[in-house]
Parts: sequence; C-alpha cells; structure tokens
Amino acid sequence: MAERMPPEPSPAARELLRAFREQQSPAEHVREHGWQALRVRLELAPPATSAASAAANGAFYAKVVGITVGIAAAVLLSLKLVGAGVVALSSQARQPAMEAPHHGGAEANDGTAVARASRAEPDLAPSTETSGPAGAAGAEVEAATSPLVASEPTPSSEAVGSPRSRSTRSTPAPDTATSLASADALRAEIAIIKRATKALEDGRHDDGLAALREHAERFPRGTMTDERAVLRAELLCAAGRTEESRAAVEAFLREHAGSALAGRMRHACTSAKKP
Amino acid sequence: MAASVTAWSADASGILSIPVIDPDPEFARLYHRHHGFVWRILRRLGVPPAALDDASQDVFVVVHRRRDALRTDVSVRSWLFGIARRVAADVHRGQRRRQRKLDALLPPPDALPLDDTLARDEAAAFVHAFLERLDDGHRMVFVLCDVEGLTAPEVAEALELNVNTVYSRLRKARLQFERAVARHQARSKVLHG
Repeated sequence: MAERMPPEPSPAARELLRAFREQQSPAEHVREHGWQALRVRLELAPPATSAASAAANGAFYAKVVGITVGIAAAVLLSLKLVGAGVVALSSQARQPAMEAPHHGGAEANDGTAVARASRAEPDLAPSTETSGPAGAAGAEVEAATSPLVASEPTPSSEAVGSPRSRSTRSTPAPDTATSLASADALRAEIAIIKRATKALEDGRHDDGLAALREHAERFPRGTMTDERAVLRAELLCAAGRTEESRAAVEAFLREHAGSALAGRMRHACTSAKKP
Repeated sequence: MAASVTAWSADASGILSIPVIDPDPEFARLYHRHHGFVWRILRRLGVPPAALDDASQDVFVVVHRRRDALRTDVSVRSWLFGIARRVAADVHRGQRRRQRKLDALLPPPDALPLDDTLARDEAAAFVHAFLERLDDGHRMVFVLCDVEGLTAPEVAEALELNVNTVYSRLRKARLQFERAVARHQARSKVLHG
C-alpha cells in the first residue's frame, strides 16, 4: 500500500528545527575561508571579490601578490643573466671575429652564445618540485618555475648572495610570468603539504617533519604556513613528542587565535593545554 | 559545467602561455549555495568539528573533479549527500587509525570542548538530543527532510530507499518529534511559569 506524505510539522516544531539548522551551519567567514582554501587546492586563481570580502581576504591576496611579484622579478633577472651571458660570450668571440670579420661568423658566434646561456640557466636555479604538465611544455614550465619558486628568500639563497635574489625587488613583472609563477609556487607548496599529510597518515613522522622543514626553508612566508604549523603539531604529537607538540599548539594559538585552523590546532594533540 | 582550467599551450613564437583560468562561476555558485548543507551533513555523519573544514573541502574537490558526471535527472543535494557520506567514512577510518596511535601514547583526553554555539542554544540542544535518541534509519530521513528540506523522492535517491519507506520513516520520526516538543514545552512551562 502506498504511503502518503505525513502531516507537516507544527509551527513549534518548525521553529526548533530552524534554530537547530542555524546552530549547525558554518559561519560566513568559515565558508569564505573554505572557498579560498579550496581554490588553492584546485589551483585556481584567487577570485575577483567585492569590496566587502576583499578586506576579509586581504591577507590571502597579500601573500599571493608577494609571491607573484617576487617570482616575476626573478624571471626578469634570469632573462638579464641570459643577456649578460650573451654579452660575455660575444666579447669572448669578438677576438676571433676580428681576426675573421665576416657576417656569417659573427651570427654563428651569437647563436652559440645564446645556446650556451640557455643551457646554463637551469644550473642557476635550484630544482623545484612541480606537478606541472609533462613533456616539452613541462620543461618550459620547469625552466620558468625554478627561479620563481626561489623568489621566497631562503637562508641558503641569501647566504650565497645570488644576483637573482638581490634584483628581485625593483623590477616590474611581466604578467605572463607572474601568473605562471604564482600558480607554480602554490602548486609546489601544496605538494609539500600533501607529502607531509600522507607521511602523518602513514605514521612516517620523521618524513613528515622533514617535509615541513623543507616547506619552511623554501616558503618561510608561504600561503600555507598555518597548515604547516598545524601539521607540525600533529606530527610531533603522533611521534610521541607531546611536550613539543603542546608548545607548538600554544604558540600558534597565542599568535593566531583568530585563524580558521585554530579549532583544528586545539585538537592537534588532545592533551595539549589550551591558552 | 565546463572545465575550469584549459591546457597549457605555446603561441606561434614558442613562448609558453599561461593557463587560461576560468573562474567557473557555476562551480562557485554550487559551492556557496550548498556549502552549509555539506557542512551540516558531515557534522550529522559524525565528522568531528576539527575535521569539518577539511572534510567539506574534500567533498567539493570531488565535486569539482566529477562535476561533468552530474546527471540532470539527479538532485544536486542527493549527489552531494552521496559524496559527503563517502568522505565522512574516510574521515572516520583516518580518525580511528590516528586515535589508536594516540591512545597508545597519551593519557585519556579531557572532555571535548562543547560546541559553544550548540551549548548556548537550548532549542538546538533539544533537537540534537532528540536526534541522538532516534535510530539511524529514521534519523537521516528526518534530518534530510525536515532540517535540510529535501523532498521525499530526493531523500529516497540519496539513501537508496523506496519513497514509501521514506514516507513511513518520516511519519514515525515526526510523530516522535511532536511528542518530544510537547513534553519540552510542558517542562518549560513548569520551570519558567
């Protein structure tokens, strides 16, 4: 026998259910944070925002813009280095060219110089982890990415005083390079965070902590520093280093009480004290 | 929904062009319209508060990946519910695995902090307590119909039930809820005059 729709709830019941639904719903800022984080995970560009939400998302965009400008400047520097290489090799070639001054020889030397400089370029930049497209396009991305990711000043790059890191601040950035670079930097960050998360799930705590150290070195002010802090506390706790985990939790909550990850951090080590 | 990111390509001069980012407004609308639903369902499915943010993102990552598979004859919320249920199951598996490790290392934790919002709201706490007393089969039908506003056919689709079964469970759950509400109101009158 077919059932019929039961009678509608009474007004009192509906009111209680409405209150329950409201109480169970996420706050607006939680939804917006989730949207930003989701976009990062999906490797999409930050969305255009209204004036109201722009203020709320200011920190996120500041990070992205910072990364983008630095990365683009690094690309320009690389191009400059290539140019310098061309000039240097041209001057070396000038002597034989003067000995045999004909156009064909000069063109050949210029071509060689450019080729040498191009080949040398990858050596100038640290290798970077990227999940970008494979094949020829992937090689192009790799070449473009390496100096870009390095635009986050790391202790090692500052120590060696590479000309690239010195010149990243004042040069305007080409749009193409900046967009490409920011996407790759975020992709590299996500890859490391994912690696640390997987290590936590698999119980490889030392591997996870090593991945987070790598993230801290390459992206000291990256987009996912909060995620890094939470994962570190979770890894320390899971590794039995509860005192260090508690200290990490307390330090984070002191500095980032309003972070969307504060709730997760409070549970990073269940016996951690809450400030 | 169209794909949001086009393939990488090189122009005639051989310069690699940036990937064309399509903000995919349809996906954005879907997220903003249904995030609350996904959040509440995950919560109802027992995902701990600390994991809700990540779990709801996981749901939408799957949605984004499989959005072309959404059939027009399927309710979006039924489809989201199915994904949320699988994500919640994954969370539970991960939680159990981690908890076993933590239990071995740590003393029993303090009581979990109460959800401040829920604790403050007597009405919500009342509904919460009622749902805890319902059996699983009736609870999810009641939640999807009367909290989330899904139609009986949508609930039948989401839970893979016969529509008549949905009606039957809903009728019983509503009857129990009305009785509980009547008791709650009577008690309130006694306490508050």
